Amino acid sequence: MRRIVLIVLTISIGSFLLPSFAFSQDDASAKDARRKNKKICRQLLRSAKISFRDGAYNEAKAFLDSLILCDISNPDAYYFLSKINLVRGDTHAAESQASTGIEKAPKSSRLKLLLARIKISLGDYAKALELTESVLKIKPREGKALYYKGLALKGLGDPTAINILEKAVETTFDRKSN
Amino acid sequence: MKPIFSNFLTRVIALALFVMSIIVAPSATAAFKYLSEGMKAPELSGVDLKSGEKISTRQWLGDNLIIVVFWSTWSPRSLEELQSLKELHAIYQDQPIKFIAVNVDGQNISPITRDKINSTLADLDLPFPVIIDDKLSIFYEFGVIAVPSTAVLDSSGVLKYGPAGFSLTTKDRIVDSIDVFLGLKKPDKVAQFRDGYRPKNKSSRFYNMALNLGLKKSWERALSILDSAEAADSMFAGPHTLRGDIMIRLERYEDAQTSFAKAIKLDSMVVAAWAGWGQALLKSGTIEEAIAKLKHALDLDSEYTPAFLDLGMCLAQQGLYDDAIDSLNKAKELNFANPTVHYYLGQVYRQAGNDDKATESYIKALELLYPSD
Repeated sequence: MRRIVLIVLTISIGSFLLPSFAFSQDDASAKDARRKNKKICRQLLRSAKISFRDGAYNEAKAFLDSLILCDISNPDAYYFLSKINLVRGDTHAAESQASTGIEKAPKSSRLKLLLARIKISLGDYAKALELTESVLKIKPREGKALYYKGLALKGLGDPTAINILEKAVETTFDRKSN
Repeated sequence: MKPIFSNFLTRVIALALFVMSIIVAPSATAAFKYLSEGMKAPELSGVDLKSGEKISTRQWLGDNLIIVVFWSTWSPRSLEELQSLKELHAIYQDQPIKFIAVNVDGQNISPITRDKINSTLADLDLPFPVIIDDKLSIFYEFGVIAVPSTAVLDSSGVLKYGPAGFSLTTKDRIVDSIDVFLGLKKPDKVAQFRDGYRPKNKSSRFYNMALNLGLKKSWERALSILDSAEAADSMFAGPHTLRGDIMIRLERYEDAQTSFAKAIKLDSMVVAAWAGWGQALLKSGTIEEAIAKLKHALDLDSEYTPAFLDLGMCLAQQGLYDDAIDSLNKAKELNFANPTVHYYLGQVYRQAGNDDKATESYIKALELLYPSD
C-alpha cells in the first residue's frame, strides 16, 4: 500500500514539475526545477530497484515508466525494463528494450552485456560476440564480458571458447579476492 | 597347556574393543570452519519469510535449545532435512526447542531464485521461521562448508553438535542432542556428543573480531588481534587455525603449517586445522604429505568439503585424474553452489583432455559467479 501511495505521489510530483521545467523562462527557477527533476529521477530509480529486487515487477515497471518520462535517456530505466521482460520470459521485448537503451546510451557496457546475453539466448552468437568485444576493448578484464564472449564463441563452435571461459573464471576470482 | 580359545577370544575382545571405540569415540563434526563444539555461535537474525517478523536467536537464549539448519533449493538433501526437522518440530513443539532455517541459495538472490525459495517453502509449509542470508554473511561468519549443515546450540548459544550434510544418522543424532538437553539421556551415552573446549570469553571476543577482520580481508589487523586472542587463552585452538588460514591467504605457507600444527597440538579433533595444514602443504608443493593430512581430515569428518577439494587437486598433480575427479565430485555434491569446486573440476578435466566437460564446468562456475543472469 505504501508503495502504491509512493508511486502516485512521485508520478504526481513528476508531472507537476516536468512542465514547469520545460516552460520555465527564468534561469534560476529552471536550474531549481532541473535539480528537483534529477532528485525525482533518482528516487524513481531507487524505488524501481527495490521493487525489482522484491519481485514486484508491475510496481518496478510503473516506476521505470515514470523514470523515462522524467529522463528519456536514462540507461538504467531501459536496463531494468529489459531485465523485467527477461524475468517474465519475453526475450524479444527484453531485446528491444536493451537495444533502445544502447541507442540512448551507446557507451553503456552494462546494456551491451545485457543485450549480448539476450542475443546468446536467441542464438545470435555473432552479434553477441561483437557486443562483448566492444566492451572488452574498453575493459579487457571484465569477467562478465569474457564469460559472454566465451559463450558466444562456444555457440559459434570456436575451439578457443574454453580458453576465454577459463580466463573469465580466473579474472572474476582475482577481482573478488582483491 | 595352551588354552583352546585364547587366540579366538583375544581376537573377539580386540574386535569388540575396536567396534566400541568406533561407536563411542567422539567424532568431529565440522560443518563449520570457524566454529567448533564448545564455542559460542554468532547470533543469527533476519526477517521471517512467512510472518514478516524480525527474528533473532538472541531472543531464544537462556531457555531454549536452538537448532539452525543452513539449506538451499539446489540441494535435495536440504529439502530432506527440512522435512525431517518439520517432523521433529511436531514431536517437540511443547518443549523449549527452537528451530530456524537459514537459506543460503547464493550471494545475490535473483528474483527467479526468490520465487524458487518461496515456492519451495509453500510446498514444505514449515512451522518454524525461515530467513534468507542474502549476502551470505551468516554463512561466512559460521564458515559453512557444506549444504545442508546443522548447528545445535545450547541455551547459552554454544555449539553442541554441528554435522555437515544430511546423512542417515543426522536426524537420530539431533534427537540424541535434544534428549541430552531435556535430561533424557546422559551426554556420555551419545556418540557424537563432544563438549569441546569452551574458550575464555575474552579470547572468544578477540577471535570473533579477528574473524570479522579476516572476512573483510584486513589480514594484518586480524593477525594482530589473534595475538591478543592467543594471549587471553593459551588453550584455545581456534585462533591458531584462523591464523593458519590467513597465512595461506598471504602465501606464507611455512607459517601456516606452524599455526595449524599448534592448533592440532591443542585439539587434535579440529578438522579445519588438518585440512588447512593439507592445503598449506599442497600450495607449497609437498603433495604426499598434503594427501596424508587431507585424508586424516576426512577420517575425522567424511563430509568436509574443503578437504575433498584440495585432495582432488593433489591427486590431479599426481596424474591420478579419475581419482581427482571423484574427490572433486564429492565436494560438488556437498557444496554445489561453490564456484571454486566447478573451476577446479574444469581444470582437472582439461588436464585429463576432456575439453567438453571442462567447458561445462567453467560455465557452471560462471553461472554461480554471476547469479543474476
